[in-house]
Amino acid sequence: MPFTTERNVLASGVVVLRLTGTMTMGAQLQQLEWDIAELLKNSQKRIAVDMAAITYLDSSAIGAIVGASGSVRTAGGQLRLAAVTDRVKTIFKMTGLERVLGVDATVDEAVAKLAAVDPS
Amino acid sequence: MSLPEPVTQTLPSRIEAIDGAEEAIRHYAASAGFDEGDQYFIGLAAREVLVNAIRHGNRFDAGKQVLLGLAAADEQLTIEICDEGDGFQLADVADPLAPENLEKRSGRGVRMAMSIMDTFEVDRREPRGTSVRMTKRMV
Repeated sequence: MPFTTERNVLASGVVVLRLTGTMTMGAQLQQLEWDIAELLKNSQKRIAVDMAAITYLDSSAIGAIVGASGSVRTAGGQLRLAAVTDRVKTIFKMTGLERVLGVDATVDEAVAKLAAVDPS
Repeated sequence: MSLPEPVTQTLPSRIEAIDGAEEAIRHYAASAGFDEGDQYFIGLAAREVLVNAIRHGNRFDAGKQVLLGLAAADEQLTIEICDEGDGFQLADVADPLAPENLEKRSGRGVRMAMSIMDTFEVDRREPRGTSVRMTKRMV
């Protein structure tokens, strides 16, 4: 399944970025970078990444997520991952990703935490 | 259940070749008796090594190929992936779980494959290249 992204800006100003499909090395991964760059350009710095529909990802995708998180943090914002499937969670554990990124069980949980963050 | 015969396949040094190879590896693992969950992670381990062989080994050189070998015997699956590059030492692979590496964008593939598979060996090939041989036990 191809990798796609979909953005939804909530009333709180928190953005839910829903990712779908398989995330593997290739040009498609740039879409995540472009989404993050555009959100930051619009000063939308609180981002919940909904991972529920990501069925597969490789180390290149992990690198893209780490890069996206770093860009948001550098801009003074925060990115949280949410609703990660069990298999993807296993991959996160192999790579230590859960040690450097906030990972929440549900999108609602991630949104609530981000809504409490100063949006400036 | 009869085990599949050993197979070898030659791949071009293009990222586009990886999806098909991974699919073939998953199918082979299924034929060898691995369940869907094992097929998923075995495919991922192979993908990581294939990416390394094409990107870091052969450096996308169209004149170089990657050799993929699959065998199922003695209650284990063996995957061998060979490139024609300059070679690498396992000792030189940084630990992606070290605090200083956690936020780097790359350098996780080999360790992911090692986490998934039961054995993982790297050998230099003559006259050039690297061979990665990894196995997964059938439990």
